[in-house]
Amino acid sequence: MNKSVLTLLVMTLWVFAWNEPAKAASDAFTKAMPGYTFSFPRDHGSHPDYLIEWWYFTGNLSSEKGKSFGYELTFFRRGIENKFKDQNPSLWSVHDVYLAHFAVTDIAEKQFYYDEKISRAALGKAGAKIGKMDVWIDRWSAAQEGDQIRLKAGDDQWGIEFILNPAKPLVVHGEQGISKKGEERGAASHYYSFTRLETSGTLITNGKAEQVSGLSWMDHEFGSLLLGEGQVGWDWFSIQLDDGSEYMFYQIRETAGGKDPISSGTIIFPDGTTQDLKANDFKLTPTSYWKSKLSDATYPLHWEISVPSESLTLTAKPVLNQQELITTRSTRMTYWEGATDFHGQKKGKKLKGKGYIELTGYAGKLLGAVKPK
Amino acid sequence: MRQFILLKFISLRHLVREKRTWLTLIGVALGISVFVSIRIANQSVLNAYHQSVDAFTGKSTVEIVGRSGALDENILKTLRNEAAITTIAPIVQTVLPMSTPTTSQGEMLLFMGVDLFQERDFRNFNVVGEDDKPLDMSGAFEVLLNPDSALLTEQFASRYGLKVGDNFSVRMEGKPLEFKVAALLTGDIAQTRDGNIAIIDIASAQWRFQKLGQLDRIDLITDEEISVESIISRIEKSLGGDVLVRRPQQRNRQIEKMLFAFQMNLTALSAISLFVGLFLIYNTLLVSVAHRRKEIGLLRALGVDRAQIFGLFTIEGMVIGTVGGFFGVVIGSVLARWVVQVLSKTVTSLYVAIPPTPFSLPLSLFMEGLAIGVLVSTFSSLYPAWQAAQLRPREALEGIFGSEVSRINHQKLLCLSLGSGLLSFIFSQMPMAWGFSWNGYVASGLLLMAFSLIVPTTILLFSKAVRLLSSQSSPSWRLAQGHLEQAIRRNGPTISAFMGALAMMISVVIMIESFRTTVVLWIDQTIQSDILGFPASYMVSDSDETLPRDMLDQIEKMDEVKAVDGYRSRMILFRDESVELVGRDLAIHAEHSKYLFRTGKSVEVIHKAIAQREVLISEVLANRFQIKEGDTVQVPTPQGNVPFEIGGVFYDYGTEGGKLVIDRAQLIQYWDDSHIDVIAIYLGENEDPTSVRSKLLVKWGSSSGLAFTTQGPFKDEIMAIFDQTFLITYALEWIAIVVALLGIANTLFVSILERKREIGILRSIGGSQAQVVRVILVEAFYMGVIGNIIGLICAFFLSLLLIYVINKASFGWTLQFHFPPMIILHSFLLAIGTALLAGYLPARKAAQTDLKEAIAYE
Repeated sequence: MNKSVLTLLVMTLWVFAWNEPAKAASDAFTKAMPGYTFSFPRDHGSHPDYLIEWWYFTGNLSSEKGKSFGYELTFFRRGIENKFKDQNPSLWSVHDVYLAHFAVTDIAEKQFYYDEKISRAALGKAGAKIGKMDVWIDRWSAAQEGDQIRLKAGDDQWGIEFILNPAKPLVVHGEQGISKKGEERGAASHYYSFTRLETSGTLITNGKAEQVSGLSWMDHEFGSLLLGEGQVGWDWFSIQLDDGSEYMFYQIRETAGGKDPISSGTIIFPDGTTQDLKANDFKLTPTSYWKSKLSDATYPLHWEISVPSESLTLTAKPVLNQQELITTRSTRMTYWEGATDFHGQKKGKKLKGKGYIELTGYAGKLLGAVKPK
Repeated sequence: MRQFILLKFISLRHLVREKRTWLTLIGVALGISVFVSIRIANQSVLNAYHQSVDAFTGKSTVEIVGRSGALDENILKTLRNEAAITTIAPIVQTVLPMSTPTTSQGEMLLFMGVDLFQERDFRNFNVVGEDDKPLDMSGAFEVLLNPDSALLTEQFASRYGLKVGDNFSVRMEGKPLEFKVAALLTGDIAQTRDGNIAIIDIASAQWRFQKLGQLDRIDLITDEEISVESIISRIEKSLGGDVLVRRPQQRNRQIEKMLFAFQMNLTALSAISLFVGLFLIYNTLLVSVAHRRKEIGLLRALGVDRAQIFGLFTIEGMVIGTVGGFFGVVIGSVLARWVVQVLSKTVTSLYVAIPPTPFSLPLSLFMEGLAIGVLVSTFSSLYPAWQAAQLRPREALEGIFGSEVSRINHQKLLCLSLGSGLLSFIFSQMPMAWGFSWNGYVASGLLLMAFSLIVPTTILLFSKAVRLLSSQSSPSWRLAQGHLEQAIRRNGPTISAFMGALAMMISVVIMIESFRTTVVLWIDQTIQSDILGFPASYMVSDSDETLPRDMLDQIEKMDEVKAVDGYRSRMILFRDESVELVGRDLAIHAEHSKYLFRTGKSVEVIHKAIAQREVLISEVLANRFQIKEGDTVQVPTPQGNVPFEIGGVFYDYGTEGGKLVIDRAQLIQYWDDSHIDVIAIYLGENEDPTSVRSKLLVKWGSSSGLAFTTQGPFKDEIMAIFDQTFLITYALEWIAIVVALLGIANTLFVSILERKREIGILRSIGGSQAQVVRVILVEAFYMGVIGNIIGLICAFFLSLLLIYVINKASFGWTLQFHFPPMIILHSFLLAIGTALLAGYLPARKAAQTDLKEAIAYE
């Protein structure tokens, strides 16, 4: 530790570290339990009764000149368990901590830029409204405007301002309103997605603004206990294929190695209907690894994906290897979140698509030091 | 090469062999040491100050403070819309005295309540757990957010044996406030204030220090590509006039200005010793030239030219200067250890909290000391070296000194003196610049010159007067008078230098005495309360500790008590500068005590001020802002600027920078501030302050950290602080006296050695050794008397300059001129004692002169 722990690092660590302190705290927060009924726009808004919540946006976009880009913008809310928070009338008293990660991948220039923010509510500096989607830190925000969502992030060197329009209805993942993350009671989240959001707006890279358009994906997830005992991290995939379907997979990795049987996925057919996938319904096989020079972590960046029921095979190839977010100089909290190209066959027909892969727990202790063998 | 041989075999031998050289060396070393020690101390204190300021300022480019006090936290909402602001760090801070562990009592702890999420961008500090181990991070944040969690600096914690998880407490309103050490701090910020810093979360700070909704300061980091000035003016426009937006550097400008003036004055005082040291080298070389006439003649006869002789003596001077400079730096650095301590204490009590400054002697200061030694010695050896070079070989060999020819033009000297005096007066009337009274010092220099120029004429007049008076007295008195008159050219500079040193010394004494007398008078007239109650930390530092809120009511109800005056002091920004605002019960103050107004009776002025809601201001403030009775000034309050008419200007020597006084009712009305810092208690007739004090002590207990003091000890305390302030000045003066003493001894040596021949003749015509001694001592006595008379008169004018020009410009205080009559006696005793002491050894030596050698020429 050569810098203050009172920094993003701590917060990042600690937001993700729900398997540790969160456990003790979780009693004070509502657990994600089966039988939850989603209601919108209410559930687009904040759920302060739950410990952890995030609004996650990724997308693959291209400019009028044909340049391709990827972006990620995630807002986190993390509840605080502090017995004094309701006693202290100070407006600086921390009830929730807000955190945001913003990344842009400039594929042609092979540049990956990211930035991060952390804040307490502090008289409107950051916040997440209840009842509708409106979450912000400083001038970064994700807000509902009618049926659309407006995203703003970054600064005058690297920044975005996008309008997102759902091309398909939202999708609730899992069964009975919960997406299970572990065997324990409450080790789950309420999880829904907009899997195909038509996106247009302004993207600034290296100080130059361009008009871009493409597709985005949005996740909104909230719960109080997201990783169970013995789980170290996850591999998560969002795939938008050009036949109009989308796939979401996640597999939770265990300390002992191997895939947790709770891992699952969802198929969203072109007509918007969905099908849940259990751990055995799909197979994710890493084919090659990349070692980050910055963090020393080794990530599986190339994958073979198969969904036998759909006769689907896909290969995943990142648009750029270096899409790793190190949210502090310390390598303890680091993850890979990158724009990825997908190619393959479905029922004998060739197809391709774009999407994002998220790989966590490959670097750092709190999320597990287990590296692929 | 030849020069080197000369130097090696002639000069160095002389230098080592002659006892006077050692005397000179000591003097020079002392003179330089004083100067160097003040330089070192000034530098150390400034460094410590800057370091602490920088660590506090961190990377912020702009800061915002409230003009009337704390800021409303809601202005942050406006600030967030300003695109040019990159990061915002709100700060809530307070300084409170330590309560437990008991060993830490007396220490003041600065709490900085910060938004822990934002701080990394601003200030550099690391957080570590026990033994430098990184903090266990799971759950660390929850711990830090606890309202009783505080981060202490490593050095503070270790000083008092505090470990992570231990409790400590500070005192607020007479009660302990508990905290727990959550982790330890290292890094830049931990170095400031000697580590007396605690960082806590801003939410905890607002809650526990009763500052909900308030911020004491907002630090900003702004867009590098936009000029800070334009951002400042934009922020000012959007926030309105109740706040001051400035560069962090500006916050300290006022303090730096005062520090600069204070340090310059000290430097100027320490230069007296240097001046005397310069004179000492000059003398020593003159002695050397006189003493070694034959040798010079021999050298010249052997073919050494004038330039080489000149070089030889200059180099001798430089050797003395270099060696003296070296020892000066060594002694100076030893001295500096003490000076640094006293200085940082003084600066802390007068201007700004300075951490106990670590002593350091940077190479640059070491070299500077040496350079000063060399420069001073070169400069002062020029004339003696020139004189040596002028000697003709034959004269020198025969012991004839080739001077004493031309007559003194007294008219010309007097005209020059008058001109110099006039110039001095003109300079004294000029405005000062940079907060430093340069004109005062120039005027002082000119004044000294004016008085030096009348010395020869005075000698003549004195001698004539003595001749008239002593026509009946013994021959030695008349002989001495004759010598004095004949050797005006030689004795003139000696007496001038002696007079100068004496005058400077006496004038400083008069200034301090005037100051002291003024302060004593002021205390006696304005401090009338029988008992004063205040937090113990009040007298020593920038404490924010206030008295318990119910204290005023409770004391008022006591039977013995006739009246109580609650006194509250806080800082506001008046015309962009930090100024003390006092709210007190003016009616009670008028009835039982008083202010010393420039015009008007205390009771009347105060009552009018209460009735018409006027403000009373101290003289220093009036001078500082060029405002006077009857003016209307805008005073920033939390409810905006409020116009107040100045009801009166009173003398006050208690605060640096001056203060504004309003009735406490106004303070409560506009500031909603009902805190009290000091409580002045007036007892009924026949009540015994001591027993009431004991009662108060018992009532509030020793753990409350409250001090109750009766009038006498309180006054003593103030005077102790006063004397502490002038401690360095006194010390400087004493060293100057010692150096001057060495100088006078040397001067008389010169005088006697030059008159070897005369003395020889005196002896050969039957004068006994005792008579010779007596003649010389009488002459020394005459010199002392003349030096003292002119010195006293010169000191009188010099002290006027010190009091009414230099001191007034530097500090803004009007001092009642007080000429302590005893100083005449003291200075006479000192001057004559010094002269006799310094004359005795040379006199003895002269009496023992070998007769034959002395009159060989005749």
